[in-house]
Amino acid sequence: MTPEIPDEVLRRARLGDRAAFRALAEALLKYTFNLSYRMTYNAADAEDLTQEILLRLFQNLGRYDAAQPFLPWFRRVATNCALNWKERLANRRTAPLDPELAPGVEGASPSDPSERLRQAVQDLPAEYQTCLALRYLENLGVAEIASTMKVPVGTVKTWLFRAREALKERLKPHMERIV
Amino acid sequence: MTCDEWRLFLQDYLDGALSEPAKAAIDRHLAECEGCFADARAHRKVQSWLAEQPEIEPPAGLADRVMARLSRPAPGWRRELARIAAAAALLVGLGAAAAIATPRERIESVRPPVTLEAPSLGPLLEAAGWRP
Repeated sequence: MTPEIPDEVLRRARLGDRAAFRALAEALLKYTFNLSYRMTYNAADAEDLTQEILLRLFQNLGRYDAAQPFLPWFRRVATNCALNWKERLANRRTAPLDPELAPGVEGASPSDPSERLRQAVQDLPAEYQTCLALRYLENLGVAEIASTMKVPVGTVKTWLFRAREALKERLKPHMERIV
Repeated sequence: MTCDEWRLFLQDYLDGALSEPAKAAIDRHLAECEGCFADARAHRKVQSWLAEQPEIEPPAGLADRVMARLSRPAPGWRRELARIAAAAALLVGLGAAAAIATPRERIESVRPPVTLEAPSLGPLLEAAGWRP
């Protein structure tokens, strides 16, 4: 999923042209919403996160170096914003007193394995979700993910491994029904 | 290759990013080790599920809502403005209250006494040797 951004739109948006920024936001909307959805697996949260990312883009667009490709820069802005957003969300949402009431595969578990997997991804740490989104939505290699998240390649490999391992463990009894 | 060693190469193995000899070594290990074979299969299944999630369309009107938020001052700004306004109102209120509550006599009593008489020049003139 690669958004098409006309150079002229980008140039005018950088100069503060609101109409051009709207065109830029529209060009990035589906990409940003899907990235946000992969980090939340919840449509309402994905919409909120998409808005945050595009507002952050508007605030930071003046810092973008036009000599560099736009999408990797935007991806960094988006993932940083998403990690901060998720941290704020985690601080706001207090843990339920009764662990049985907590959302997730252990509690009120849906019978649909895909839904169980979605819930399992929701419970992963934000860094793992980011790695999964960049790897499996955007099809980025570990080196590109490392560059986007500004962490070593080995860390990305470890996060991807642990994320899949966690999903695998949570879904072990239903593994045969998945895919 | 041991079970721990192959896990180090798992990501590259799943991504198809290994050299042919390295891939062959892992394939040999997986053919011999039932646990690692099951593990690799499970990782592959999770990977396939993640990769095959369909793209979704953003909700209608989302771009409008983003642009509407751009037109509003950010919440941080609003809080800051409210704080400044509250502080200014407090200062004005305190000043007015102090002015009303202070009796006129008290204001008079704290004023320094004003002397309207000119100081005598006599001693100075005498010191300068002036004689009338």
